[in-house]
Amino acid sequence: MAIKSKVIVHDSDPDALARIKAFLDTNNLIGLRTHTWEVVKTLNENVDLGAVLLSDSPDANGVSGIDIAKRVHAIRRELPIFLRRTSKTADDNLPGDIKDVISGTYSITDMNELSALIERYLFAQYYPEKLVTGIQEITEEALQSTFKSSHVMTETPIVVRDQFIYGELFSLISLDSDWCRGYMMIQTDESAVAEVIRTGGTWLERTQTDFRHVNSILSEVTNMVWGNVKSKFMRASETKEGVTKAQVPIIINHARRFVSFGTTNPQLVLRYQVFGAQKQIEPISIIQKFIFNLNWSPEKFNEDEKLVDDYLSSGELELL
Amino acid sequence: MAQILVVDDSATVRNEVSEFLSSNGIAVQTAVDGKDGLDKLKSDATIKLVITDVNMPNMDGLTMAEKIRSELGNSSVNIIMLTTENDPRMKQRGKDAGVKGWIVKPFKGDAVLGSIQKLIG
Repeated sequence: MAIKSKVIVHDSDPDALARIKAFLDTNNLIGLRTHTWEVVKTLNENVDLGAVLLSDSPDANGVSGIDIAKRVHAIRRELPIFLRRTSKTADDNLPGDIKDVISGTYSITDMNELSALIERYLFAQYYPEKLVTGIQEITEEALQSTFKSSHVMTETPIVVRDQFIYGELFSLISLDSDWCRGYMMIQTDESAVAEVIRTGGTWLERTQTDFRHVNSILSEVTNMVWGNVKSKFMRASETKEGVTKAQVPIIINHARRFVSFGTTNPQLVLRYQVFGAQKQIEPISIIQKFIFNLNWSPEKFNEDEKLVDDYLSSGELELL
Repeated sequence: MAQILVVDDSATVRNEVSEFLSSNGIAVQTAVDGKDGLDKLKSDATIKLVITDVNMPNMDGLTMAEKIRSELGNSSVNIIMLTTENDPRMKQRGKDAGVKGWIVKPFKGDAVLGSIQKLIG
């Protein structure tokens, strides 16, 4: 299972676009093509982006990719911008203010340059397939248990550089093991969950649609996923008496729907759509994000495979 | 009539388990945490089995299990943990407190109904 990433592509050159499209298709990238006046709209509509690909030549509306890069950077500073150079001039000749805005440049005649940028900024963080698949299965089971007679569709896992929060509601719980330390975040829309409660799609009373009950649903899903992920993949880390583990502040800006874990590392995101028995109800979107901001040593992950073997399947009674 | 006490701070889990048991002809009571569960056990001798979460506010499920034996002196009531926890040290603590079984959430009623029926006789 390949982990993908979503990138905005704004480029008016048909030949370059064809090369870029072919590159995206073979490099696990999902391209979102935009036009001049839609770049900001696309940024606002997507909270799970990996990067932005621009060109230094004017687009069909005569707007330079350099100007667009400055606008993108002003709105989403965390997104890496890769600028396609159309001339052979060295990057050193780029204006100073644009050098601060972009993460790197590439030429259409040498896609290895773009490949190196993608590897460095998006796929530098390796996520073991067994872990990603396991998380997905555990979460699907937790969602199906929480939402009666539901079925869950899971999109391809992606890595994002975005730090935006989806929906009004999110839960945050720490993950701590010998090989990773960080957080799991689950985000959703309050109104979508409330509607499913109202139509009898949960174990709550149909009248229990206020935000506290919606919170309790998300809390239970989070708890179930966390417990099972922890049991299956994460040996508790042994803390020596008196040794305090490092922490970093988590900054949340409600007005800007922005959350920072103090790292710019790409984050693993899984998206689920929960379809209830009531066909006329919109599915619930669940976005699950993993941020290993305090420790990420996936090379030690394999050592924990015994845990997977010892793992008791959920729902079974183990006699003590 | 033998009763089962379902203890969980999550209304979702309480309702899910209760609904399943009731639909299988088993009488059910619920409690929102370990302290509430202990109070209900003190006042109702018909409870034969407790199905409880571990992590709950006010009093966790393992502490409640220990108090059922030590404070209530009740050794006849069976206890099953229904939890996201799967730590062997916690299970050992549960075993020491007389916990009979351990279920990792999510709850799958059909998989455990037979065992539950045996425990309540």
